[in-house]
Amino acid sequence: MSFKAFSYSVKQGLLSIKRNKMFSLASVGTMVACLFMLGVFLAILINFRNIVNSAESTITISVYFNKDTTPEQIAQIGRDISARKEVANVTYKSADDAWKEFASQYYSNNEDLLASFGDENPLGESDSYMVTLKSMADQENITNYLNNITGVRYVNSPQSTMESLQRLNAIISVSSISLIVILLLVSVFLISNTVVVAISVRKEEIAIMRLIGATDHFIRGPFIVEGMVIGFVGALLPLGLLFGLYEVLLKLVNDDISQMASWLMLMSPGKVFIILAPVCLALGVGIGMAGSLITVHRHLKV
Amino acid sequence: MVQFNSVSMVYPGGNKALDDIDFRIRKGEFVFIVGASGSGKSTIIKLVLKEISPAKGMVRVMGNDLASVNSKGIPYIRRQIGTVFQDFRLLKDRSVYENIAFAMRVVEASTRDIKIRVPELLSMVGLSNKENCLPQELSGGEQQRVALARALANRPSMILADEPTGNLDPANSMEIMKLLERVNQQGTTVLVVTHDNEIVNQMRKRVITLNRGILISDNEESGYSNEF
Repeated sequence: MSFKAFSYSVKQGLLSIKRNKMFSLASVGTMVACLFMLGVFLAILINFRNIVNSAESTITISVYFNKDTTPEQIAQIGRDISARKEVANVTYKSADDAWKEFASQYYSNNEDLLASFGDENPLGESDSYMVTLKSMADQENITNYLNNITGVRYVNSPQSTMESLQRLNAIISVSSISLIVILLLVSVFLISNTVVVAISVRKEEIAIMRLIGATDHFIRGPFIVEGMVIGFVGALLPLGLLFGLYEVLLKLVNDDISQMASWLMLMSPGKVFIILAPVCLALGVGIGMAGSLITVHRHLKV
Repeated sequence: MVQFNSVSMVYPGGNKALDDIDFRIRKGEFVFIVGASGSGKSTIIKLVLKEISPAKGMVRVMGNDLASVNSKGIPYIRRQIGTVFQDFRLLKDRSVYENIAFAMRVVEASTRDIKIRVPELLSMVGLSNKENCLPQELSGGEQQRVALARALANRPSMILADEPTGNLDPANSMEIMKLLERVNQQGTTVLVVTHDNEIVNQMRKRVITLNRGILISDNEESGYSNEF
């Protein structure tokens, strides 16, 4: 397509939107609603994946020892665990450290109760290793390995937590993607309807263009531009709206809610919108183009 | 310029519009195709513009066998044919100037060419002072002159006029015919489809007569003396 034909298509496409103001507005409106919902789901998906990933890197396996296991044996077990290629990090926590941590967490406002324990350490047999894995996929193997080490009393592996998180992640992914596909189909249908109206409004002009010798591209160009512009505007508006809402939500969640649930930390807007913005814009323009293309192919046989 | 070889046309439903038609229009000719309603005149126009394809036979336009022209090639054939219709087919939301310029924009003519050509055409059809008018502000005769100017905008080799005087009074009809004659004298082939015998008799040109899809006479050999 020549530059002249391209600029004609852009001009006529914009004019057509202006001429069919009501239909164009309705299309933009539905696109905004669809892409807004899509953006919400995508933002949830991106954040949830992030939570799962960070949970994976922070979840540790605790290894406790029998009463009669000597410090030398414990040190050797630590070296053996560290030598495993699946292991990212091994930290030793003595029974005294475990008690100090527990006391500061639960008795910091109750000095009298803490004093009643005297010098006794209720967690006296709680020397442990905190094992962090490179990938949670190896969790089962390592847990089995740790359980079979002589001198190990108990292995606390948060397997069920991880499994639940991963299952929830899968459910959210599948349901979000299904909803996104449905919304996309609805949007294509709506754009297609708008283009049908635009074609019927310009029926006479199209007939004349055909007789004068306009090429296929020349006749179809403005309708494709119209669909793409509606798609672009329909994506830009919800992106702006989502950005504003996300900032508010981010402040609320990261300042207040995450105090109660430390794992619930939202990603920064920059990190979310670097994915969300191009996806929404590409989808908006793509839906607009697809809707127009389907319609002009069906209704504009040159 | 236009050649029909044993052309037949049957519309869906079995309605036979043309039956084994043969004729040839040479470059620079002025030809009328006449006949009553349903005689197949409009079918000839549709075949020349390749809006439809014949059931049988061959249609050649400007040397091209239209059966071998694909959908991408059709616009380029149509660009060489200027069409004028009974109902003018002007864009009601655009000025006289814009209606003519539109035909040039469609074939991607430069703005410079449009600025030179449109006033030339308006002057030729005698509407220089009406360039900013909308079509509905003009009389029928004036609207048809705008349509003729638009048909001529891209310097076609042939003008195809389908009942160009159908909506006009005798004076305006004659004026359009005079304009077509002038265009023809400048070398453009003119093919007029009409049932207006008054006009045909006055113009004394070649006349092809159709009746129920059959070519019943062509005065090509007799020096256009036949009366319709």
